Formats: sequence, C-alpha cells, structure tokens
Amino acid sequence: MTDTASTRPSSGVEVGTEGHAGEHGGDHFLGHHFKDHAHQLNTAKLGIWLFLGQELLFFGGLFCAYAIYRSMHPEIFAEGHLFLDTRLGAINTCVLIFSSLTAAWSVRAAQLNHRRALITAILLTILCAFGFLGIKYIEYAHKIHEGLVWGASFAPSSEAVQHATEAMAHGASSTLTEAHTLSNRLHIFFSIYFAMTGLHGIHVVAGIFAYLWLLRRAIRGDFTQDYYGPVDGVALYWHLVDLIWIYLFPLLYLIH
Amino acid sequence: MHTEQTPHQGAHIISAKTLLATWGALMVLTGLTVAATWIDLGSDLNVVVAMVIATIKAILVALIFMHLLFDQKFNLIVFVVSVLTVVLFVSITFIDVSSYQPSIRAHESLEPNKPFLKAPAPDPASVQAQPHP
Repeated sequence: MTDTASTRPSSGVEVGTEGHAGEHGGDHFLGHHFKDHAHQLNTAKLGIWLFLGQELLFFGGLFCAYAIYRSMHPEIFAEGHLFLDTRLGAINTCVLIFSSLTAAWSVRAAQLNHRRALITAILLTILCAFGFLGIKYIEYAHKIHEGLVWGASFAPSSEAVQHATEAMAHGASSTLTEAHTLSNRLHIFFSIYFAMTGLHGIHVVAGIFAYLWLLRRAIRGDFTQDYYGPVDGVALYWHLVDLIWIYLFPLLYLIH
Repeated sequence: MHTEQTPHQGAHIISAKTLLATWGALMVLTGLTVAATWIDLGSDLNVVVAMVIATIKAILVALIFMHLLFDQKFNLIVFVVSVLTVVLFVSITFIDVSSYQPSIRAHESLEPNKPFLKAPAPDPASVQAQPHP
C-alpha cells in the first residue's frame, strides 16, 4: 500500500465490480466505464479544467469592465483605492496564498496516503477560507457604514472622505495632490469593487462547502493513493480562486 | 490523450520542498508588488509592473500548485486557450469602445459635467457639511 507507483491492479483485471473496499481500498469508487484509476483521474481533471476555463471567462467579463473603465476614467481608480484598506487586502492575499499551499499539500497527502496530513491540510484550508471571509466582512461592513457603496446609493461620509484625504497627504498617491474634489463618477469604482470582490467571495463560500464535503469524506477514509480525484479537483478550483485574487489585489488596492 | 501515461498512475507527487519554495516565492512577490506601489514609476509603468508581478505569481500557481507543469499537456492547452479568449474578448471590447469615443466626446462638449446619475455623487465640500446618512 505504500508503493505509490505499482499498487494499481494490472490491466485486464475487473476491479469495478468489487462492492467493498478491500485490500485495494476504495476500488468501489472506480467507475465501471474507466480502465483504471489513472484513466478516471485524468478524465475528471480534464472536466475540472474545462470548468476552470469557463470560470476564467466568467470573471473575464468583470476584468473587461475594469479595464475599460480604468482606461477611460483613470482618476476614479486613483481616488477610489484611497478608500480601501491596503493592509487588510495584503493580509487577505497572504491568507489566500497560504490556503493555496495547504490545498496543494492536501493533494500531496492524499497521493501519499497520509490520511492525517490530508485531514489537517483540509482543515487549515477551511480555516483560511473563513479567515479570508472574516476580513472581507470587516472591510465590507466598514465600506457600507461609510456610504461607500455602488451606483446611486453612493454617499461617502465625511469621515471616509477625510481618511482618503489623509491617505492622499501621506503620499499614497501622487495623482491626487492637485485635485481636491472627488470625481462625480467615483461610485463606478465601488460598483466594480463590490462586483469583483463579491463574485470572488461567492467562490470562496462555494470552496468552503466543497472542502467541508472533502473533510467528511477524508475522515470517512474514502481517499487513497489510487482514488483522490475529488481532492485534486477541489484543490484546482481553490487555486483558481487564489489566482483571481492575485490579480484583484493589485488592481483594486495597489493603484499608484 | 490520457491513457498513454499510465505507468506512474498519471500522477506526479510534488515534493514538500517544491511546495514550500513556491509558497515562499509567492510571498516574496506579494511583498514586492506592495513595495512597487511606493515607488513612482508613472501611473502607466506602475500598472505594468503590478501586472507583470501578478502574472509571474499566476504562472507559479498554475504550473506548480495546479500541476500543469507535470500534467497531461491537454489541460495546459485548455487553460491557455481560456486566457487567450479572455484577452481576445477584452481587446475586441476596447476596439468597440474606442470607436465610439469621438461621438461621446462631441456629446459631452455639448453638455459638460452633466452627471449621469439621478443623484450626483457629492463633492467633498458639500459632504463635509452634510450629516452622515
């Protein structure tokens, strides 16, 4: 069971019909239409990759809106990012990158049949996901409290404006030293901010549910070095969520 | 395309060292991208630097964490084609938007500073006077 390369039953042996997890633990997870576990894993991964390609196009629409508005009205982005907390954004970036490490680790643990490491990695990933959402909640609550919301309801409080002016004075942005009135299009920045981080946040929530499902199955002992497709698939999804944030962080928080 | 590489279960196990090194590189690059905003390179070049760093990070995540470097190459093709499609989509939208600019400019010169929302976003002077909603 510890040999990672050759525990696969030799080809031609019917394994799909075995009802119980016996010596080859988990063989009842092998679909009868697959030749072997490798065949099943590679097929599942192709499916996940097609889904991730679709996800990229899904987010692509928002990235497109961002690119168009930023090129047409760079001033609203230069002003808007002053209202965001770069520190919290940076912390969240670190949290997500660490969760990507634990997600990658969960795949490694499953491949090596390390059940305890697998469960630990899954738990850490879930913990990071909640941490990310917690920080996001603090940011959102603060924005909503200060009237920094989307569209026609945009009405920044005087405190918010003062904070942004202070950030300006600290040299966070050189583009604003001259201007003292905010753009009347500033609400567009917050529409884009909430749409992009909101859609990303929904993906984090979905990731939590996927990881809770994995946790239950990992504790039950479903996963082995032969059968770990779900761990791999969810990890791939989680890495994409991280990948999107890698772009969102500089695009929204780190505008010079 | 998946049946050719079964001798090793079609799976590559990434070493702990590689995973930790990738994570370390991602953290360093995150620090770098934050530090880059403290240096004034002109707003255009600052965006380019931020996007180049983000893309290096994305490539690290995709190739190592997402196993694309070791995986069947068809998955890489799916991913690259998706990215190129997004680029194409954004490019075509840019062509479309820029073709309207002359007429938008002409329209704006007729009605300068007309807010396009019912309730115009307040300027800081009036905001200071207003109580918090």
